[in-house]
Amino acid sequence: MLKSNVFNKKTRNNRIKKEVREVYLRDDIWCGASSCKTCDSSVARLTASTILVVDTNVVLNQIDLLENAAIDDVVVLSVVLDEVKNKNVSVYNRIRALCSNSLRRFYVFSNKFHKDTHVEKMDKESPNDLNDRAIRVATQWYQKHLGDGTRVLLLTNDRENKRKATEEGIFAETIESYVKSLGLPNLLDLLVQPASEDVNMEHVEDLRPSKRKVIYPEHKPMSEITAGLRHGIYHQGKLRVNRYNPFEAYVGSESIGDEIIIYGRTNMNRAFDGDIVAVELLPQEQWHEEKSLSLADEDDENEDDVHLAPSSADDAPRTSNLVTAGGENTVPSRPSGRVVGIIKRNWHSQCLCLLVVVVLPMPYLSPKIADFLRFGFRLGSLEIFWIRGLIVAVDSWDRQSRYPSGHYVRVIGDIGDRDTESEDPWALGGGIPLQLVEKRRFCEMQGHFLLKFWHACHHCHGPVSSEDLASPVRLDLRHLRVFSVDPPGCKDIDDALHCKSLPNGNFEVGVHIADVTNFVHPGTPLDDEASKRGTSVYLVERRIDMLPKPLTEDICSLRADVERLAFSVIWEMTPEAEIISKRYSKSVIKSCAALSYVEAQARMDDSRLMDPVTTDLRNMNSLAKVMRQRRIERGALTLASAEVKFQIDTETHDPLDIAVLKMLWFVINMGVGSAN
Amino acid sequence: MVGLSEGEKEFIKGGIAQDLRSDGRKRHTYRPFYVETGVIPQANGSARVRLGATDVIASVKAELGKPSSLQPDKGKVAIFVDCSPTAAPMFEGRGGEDLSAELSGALQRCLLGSKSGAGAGIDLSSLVVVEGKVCWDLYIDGLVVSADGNILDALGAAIKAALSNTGIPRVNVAAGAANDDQPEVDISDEEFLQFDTSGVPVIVTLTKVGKHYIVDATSEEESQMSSAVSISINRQGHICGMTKRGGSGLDPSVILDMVSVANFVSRQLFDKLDSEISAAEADEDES
Amino acid sequence: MEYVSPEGLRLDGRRPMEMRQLRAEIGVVAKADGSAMFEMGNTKVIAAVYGPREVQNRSQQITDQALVRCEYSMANFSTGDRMRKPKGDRRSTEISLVIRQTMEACILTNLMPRSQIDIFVQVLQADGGTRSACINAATLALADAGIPMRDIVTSCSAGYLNSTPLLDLNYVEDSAGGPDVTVGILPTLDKVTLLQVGFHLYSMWLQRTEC
Repeated sequence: MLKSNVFNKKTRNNRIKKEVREVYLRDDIWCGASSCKTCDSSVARLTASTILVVDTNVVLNQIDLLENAAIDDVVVLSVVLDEVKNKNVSVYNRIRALCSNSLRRFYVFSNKFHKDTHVEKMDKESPNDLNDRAIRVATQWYQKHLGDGTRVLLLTNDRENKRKATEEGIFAETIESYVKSLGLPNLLDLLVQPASEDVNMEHVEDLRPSKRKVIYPEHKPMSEITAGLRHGIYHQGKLRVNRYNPFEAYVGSESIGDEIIIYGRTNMNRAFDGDIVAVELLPQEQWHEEKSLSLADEDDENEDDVHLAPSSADDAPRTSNLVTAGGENTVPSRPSGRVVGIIKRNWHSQCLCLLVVVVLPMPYLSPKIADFLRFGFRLGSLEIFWIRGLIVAVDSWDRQSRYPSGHYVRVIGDIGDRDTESEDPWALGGGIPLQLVEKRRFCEMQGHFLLKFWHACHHCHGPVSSEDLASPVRLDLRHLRVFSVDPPGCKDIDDALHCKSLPNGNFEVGVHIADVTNFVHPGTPLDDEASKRGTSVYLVERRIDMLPKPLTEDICSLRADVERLAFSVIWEMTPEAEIISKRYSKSVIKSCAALSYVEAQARMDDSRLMDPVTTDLRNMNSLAKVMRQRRIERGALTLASAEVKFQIDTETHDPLDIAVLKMLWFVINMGVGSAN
Repeated sequence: MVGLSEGEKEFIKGGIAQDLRSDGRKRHTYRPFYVETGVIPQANGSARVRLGATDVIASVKAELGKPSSLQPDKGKVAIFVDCSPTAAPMFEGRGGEDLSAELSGALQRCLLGSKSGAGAGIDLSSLVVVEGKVCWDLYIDGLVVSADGNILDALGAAIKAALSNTGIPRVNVAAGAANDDQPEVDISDEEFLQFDTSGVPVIVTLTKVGKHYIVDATSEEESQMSSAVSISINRQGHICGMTKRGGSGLDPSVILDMVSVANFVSRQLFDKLDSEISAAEADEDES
Repeated sequence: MEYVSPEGLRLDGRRPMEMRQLRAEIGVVAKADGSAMFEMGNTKVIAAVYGPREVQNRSQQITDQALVRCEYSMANFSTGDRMRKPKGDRRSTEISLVIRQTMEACILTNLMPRSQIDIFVQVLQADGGTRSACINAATLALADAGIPMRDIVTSCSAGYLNSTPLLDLNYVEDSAGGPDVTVGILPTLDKVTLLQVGFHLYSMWLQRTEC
């Protein structure tokens, strides 16, 4: 069994360390073809007369194509798998899933341990060349091993590799020509478009240089970035795009201890949300131009948008939030900067993005359309355009192109189509076991889009539509002095209250809970997903939401000075907190203050304050005290649950300390308790 | 710790006086020796030398370090010797430390020259990556596996063989980073820095037993010595270092006489060693 | 980290139940009474036995059996990073003890009263399984020295990674942090003389290791 052909491999002279690994070459690695007489056929997977050998880049780029059932009888070499694993784990998991799927005919050949296909590094050979050679050696072995009855075809898009393969007498084709030869036009759409900066394409580009102008500044080389980071010229951080304004992003930088704002697409320089980027600070005098700059940039975008429908004024979430962004700009200016390089891309791990594209009424979708940063779609003319939900994977983004180029993975369906909206978000990856975090992101994105669909379909400009106001079951409580009390920094304000003295000396007390059911309908993907999650999970520096952020933090958050849909319970109480009457109703409220516990306590304690909200607070507090007293007299059990807050190390993001928040045992909890 | 009877002692001394030693050698003949290179694959270079029953292993490991401020244009080399208890039970625990220190010191003097690095057997300036910033530190470790006299000569030969077997990866310093205190370096896996070991001297130890001196003494012969002189000589016949051991004094004229004998013996030793090293390297390449 | 590929091959191309290549040589240290070099893949150790001989330290003399002593040492160049450690660190002392106890159990010490047997083990290269290699080398050296023994001790390590039991771990597998066992067996007597278990061991079955 064991070939005693031992030799030592000097691997990775990483710094000083010289590593020596043994490699045992074997003669018991089977070829996996059922037609083979010499090999153990119990493991055979390959049945066709043409066997494909794929190289690393084909797997990395064309994994969507490989997943299509039309491609089968593929030999995946272990050297390819190793390289894929190093470059992109999620693609690795997908190709592994293909190999272990008994319905597919994918076979893993451990070429590096086979005595005939093991290759040793030659002098002055780069690792890439070595791998290419290993692939060719293995292909050649397969052809020789299986004889003339089987055609072994090497699929590679690398010109040099293909040329050498042909010289060595191996059948080699590019993936494009192979797919074309299959005669299945729908497969062509799954093909990934090579980046135009690709070496192979360069001369094509050169023929018409005037047509392409450079839009984005070049990314700096990695060595320059590391040097710059060390000297403090550049700052490193994760780019987060403002959810409401795609032209504004933040980079939380540890080196300057503040967030750097990045305005405009040029400054963002092809970075996606979640990328780790290197940022250069702009000169300070440019920090003040923030607002005009962002607007100017946008105007510019609109002019350039030829193939996209111009964003219209009724794109509600954006316009409304631009105002908020503008409001923030008036605070003392924060450092702004521009991206000089991307240290780590997020897109590969994320791999899939859900897009909404406005499509002209044409029967076919162009796979090239991809616009990420702006969800510009026209709402007013739904009748004319088709909106389709697409999953698109980004392949590349070169300097000459305003938009990234990608290829579509699958169409979810037309908007409004029941299938689109009810597609199980967990299955959207096409049965791909996405990692948990990816799933989460994915669902969030989907939620985001579904909401937008919802807006679009209802032609409404905000969370509260005129239909809601006109609805007879909905009580208009906007005139009431409603306020909320929550922990400091709380964004998802889910309850609010009011307390009004009635002329007869009694009090009217109301508790208002955000009306989530108005937005999350039973049976929808959002609802299914939320019920799977059950509750929001709070981790040290992250929160896994039960519902998408736009819902919890904006549309269903009972923030101050905005109209929100709510579900209300209103009691009439005597000053001794005896409930006289109660009623329940859907309602529209407009909170007048969002207070924190500390704030509320301070207001009550400050005897000089006599404003209505404070008076309400005091009244409510005294009612609560009476109620609590009564409950304790009846033998209530107090379950104190401490709320904790983590102090996080700014550099390592490791939690340093856990502080127990001084939680005020406040009326709200009592109030909600009674409401329940 | 060789227990010898009076008769045996006389036999050894008498044999030396008659130029016919107890193992049949003449006074100035070495025992047959064998060189094997690349015995420690994890090291950058290594060699095992067997000289009769004496068996030593030398390894060279290179680490990136910083040159000393006094010699910013030179790398650093350090030699450590360890006597394994397998060689003799007396080396158990800390028992071998005295001998180890003595051997390390002698080797350092014989092979590396003065403290400033002048007169070193290998070109120390070839170890510099960025002057004053980064250099290679060579750690030469000798291990005495089996001891039957003349350990120093065997170690010297093993170190020479190990150095000629050494390949140090070529280092590229990132452009623009050369002014940093700790520049980023890239190590290429393809190119190796080889040493020119023709300048590394060999060590010839002349052991004085009775009135005569012999080369390559066995441990029995060493037990009868009055003093010993180790002379390191390079290819050109120049003396690179000299160490005297043993209690009794030597007449200066005897020392001069010893030097000329050592010079003569060293030439044979050089030829033998070079052919052994190249044979060993060819052997290693084959396997 | 994937230590066993879905194809059932380890990082170095072995299958889970395969050992590395073994090589042994006897009589490598001429001056010793018995000696042996033992290689398991890249792990390489030398053992030398001195004795039975007069007890050096009279106070340690045992009247009815032989005194067995053992010292384990690692060469500076034996590990990937060159180490400059003081002699007799805790790990060395512990391994010395393990080897001594294992060998003592199979040497017929009662035949050699008032004498001393020294076993010196020198690791030239460490690539996992040094304990086992040392025991195997020591056995060979004892046999070479002609010391009466009940049986030859053979030893091998095993571990459990990626839900697969693996025989004879190399350094990479050993440092993966999975459970591991080192077993010493007297093959003709069919008895286990050494069993060391590191980390949790669930219901992992102990496999027989016979070299």
